[in-house]
Amino acid sequence: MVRVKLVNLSKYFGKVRAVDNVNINISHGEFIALLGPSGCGKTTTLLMIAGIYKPTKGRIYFDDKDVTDLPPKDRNVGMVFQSYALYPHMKVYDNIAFPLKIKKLPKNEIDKKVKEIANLLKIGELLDRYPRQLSGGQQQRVALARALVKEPDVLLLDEPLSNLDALLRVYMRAEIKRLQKELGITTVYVTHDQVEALSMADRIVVMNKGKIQQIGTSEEIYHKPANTFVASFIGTPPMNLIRCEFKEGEGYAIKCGGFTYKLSKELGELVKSKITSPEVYLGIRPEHIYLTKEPKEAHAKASVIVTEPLGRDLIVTADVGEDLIKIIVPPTAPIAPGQKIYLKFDERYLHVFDRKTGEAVF
Amino acid sequence: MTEIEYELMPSKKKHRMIIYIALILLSLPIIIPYAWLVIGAFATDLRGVIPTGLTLSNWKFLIEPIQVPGAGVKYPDIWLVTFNTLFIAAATTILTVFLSAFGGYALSRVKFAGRGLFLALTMVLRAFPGIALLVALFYVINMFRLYGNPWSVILSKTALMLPLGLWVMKGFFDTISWEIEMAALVDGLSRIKTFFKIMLPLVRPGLAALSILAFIYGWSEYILVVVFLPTEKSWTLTMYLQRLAYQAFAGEVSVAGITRPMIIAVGLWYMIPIILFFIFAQKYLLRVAVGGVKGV
Repeated sequence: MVRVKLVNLSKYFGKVRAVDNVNINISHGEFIALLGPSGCGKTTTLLMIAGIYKPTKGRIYFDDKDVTDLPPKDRNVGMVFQSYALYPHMKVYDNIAFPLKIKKLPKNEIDKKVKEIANLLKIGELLDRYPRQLSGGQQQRVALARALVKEPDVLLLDEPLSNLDALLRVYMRAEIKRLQKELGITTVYVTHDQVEALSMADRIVVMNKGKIQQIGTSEEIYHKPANTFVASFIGTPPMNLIRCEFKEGEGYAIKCGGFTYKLSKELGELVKSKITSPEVYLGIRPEHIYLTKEPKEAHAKASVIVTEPLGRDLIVTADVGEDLIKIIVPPTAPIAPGQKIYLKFDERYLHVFDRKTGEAVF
Repeated sequence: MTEIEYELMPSKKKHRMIIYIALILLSLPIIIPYAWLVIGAFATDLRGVIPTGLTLSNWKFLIEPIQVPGAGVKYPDIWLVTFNTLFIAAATTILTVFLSAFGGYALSRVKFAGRGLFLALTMVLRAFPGIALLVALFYVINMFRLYGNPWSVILSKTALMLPLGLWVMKGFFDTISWEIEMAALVDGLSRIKTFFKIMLPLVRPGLAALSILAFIYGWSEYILVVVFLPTEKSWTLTMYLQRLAYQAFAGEVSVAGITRPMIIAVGLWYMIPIILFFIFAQKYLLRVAVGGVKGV
């Protein structure tokens, strides 16, 4: 168990900045998820922590030890790959025992540890098989066992669930989280699936184009997105971003396509002090919009374009001025395409972003 | 249901029969010469493909060198000749496999300037028949003072085999995912050890197939032996066979002492190792045909 510190970490492939000036502090036993779209640099970051890629710039510390120049074998990390990367020519037992054999542990100790970890992961009866004889879920457990058997200081997981079917994925999510808490290993988990990140990690690092967009708990990432990227990446469907303009006259207001939103004096001044131009986005999550069929004051007028019943919710796509927004309503709501509706945004969950920089004002 | 099946049966059988007959007919041109070779090696003489009688005397060449009265050439001991052939074939195989394994890995995994060009050029080299390079090779061999030395043939054959070897091994390494290699590094191996402990075992089918090809390639070499190895004591089986056949049929001297079944016996002797190789290595060759490592 160690603290992992990434300082100004960068990796360039030719002119491409795969990872650009990344700073993360991971505490003892913390579960960190690196979340982002494909090609955002999350796997590259992971491979640098593992020691497989050498950073172009920056340092990596395990506790206070600088490991930047150490090869993978001297870092004591365990890693699970997306493809599991089991050795196809070795039986499950030898796959799991492999890291211990390299360490030249005595045979009976290896045997004890392999059996222990195999039982922990419930693959005790598979030890005699070859990887190709296992299902995806079983292979994944073997890969986890191989990563854990050497009692690594840091556990690195690269999209470990992406090759499993949906049901197994939900199960393994809880299983991995349980294991991580039980063993208390500092863990870095790479995923492009926000549900995995939100549900498993203590903190989430949202990345895009090699840069960190935001670091925070699921709560913070979801409710206080730092910029429009995070806002539109997290949530299904993600936050609505409506193109609006900040107006100053008698009082402050935000003027949008089909409606105008009045701001309190304090909020107005806050927005004014932070934005670089009057162009802003009004951000609101689909579940924080209330909908009526009668025109009311301070409600935005919209027309329904499409409805998607998802069982527990109904997602309504509506046209507000120039923008399309999505609203989550109870599935029983009697709403049909073409209908006129009136929307009220829950002010507690309203966000304003600078349209030029994408940064959140609040 | 059963009734229908019952009805289908005879026509299905007939269908099969036709296929078998066609296959047998198509295989005959291949099977007959081999059968003839086996029969002839134990025949006193042959009328067409029918032996007049059976004997083991054709194999006397294994015990004492063949004597041809009045011939200019003295036939060396067959065991020496076999050993020479084996030496050339084995050395060619080992060198080819060794260099192809390392080179193929580098070509598959290491990015370096001119890799594409290198691969393309090796392919071009393969396009030349070895004989087109004979004169140039002769100069090079002479320069290194290897004329008359079996290594002249071994090095030349290896060089000519390498393009194929590199491509085959590169192909096999290409099928192994980077993640397997990364896993080995994370598990605690160095890059070199990863190569020997993880990568090489995974391309074993490729190594086996390449060994067989290289072995046959070295075993069956003739032209280079004729040109580079002039003395009888460094003859290989191909040379031996050629001399026998030439003397018997081209009538350089009287054919007394050399009979057709005898040549056939030597021919069969020459083929035995290759046939053995094929029997043992068949499954690997089949895997090459499907192209890649199983179970990844």
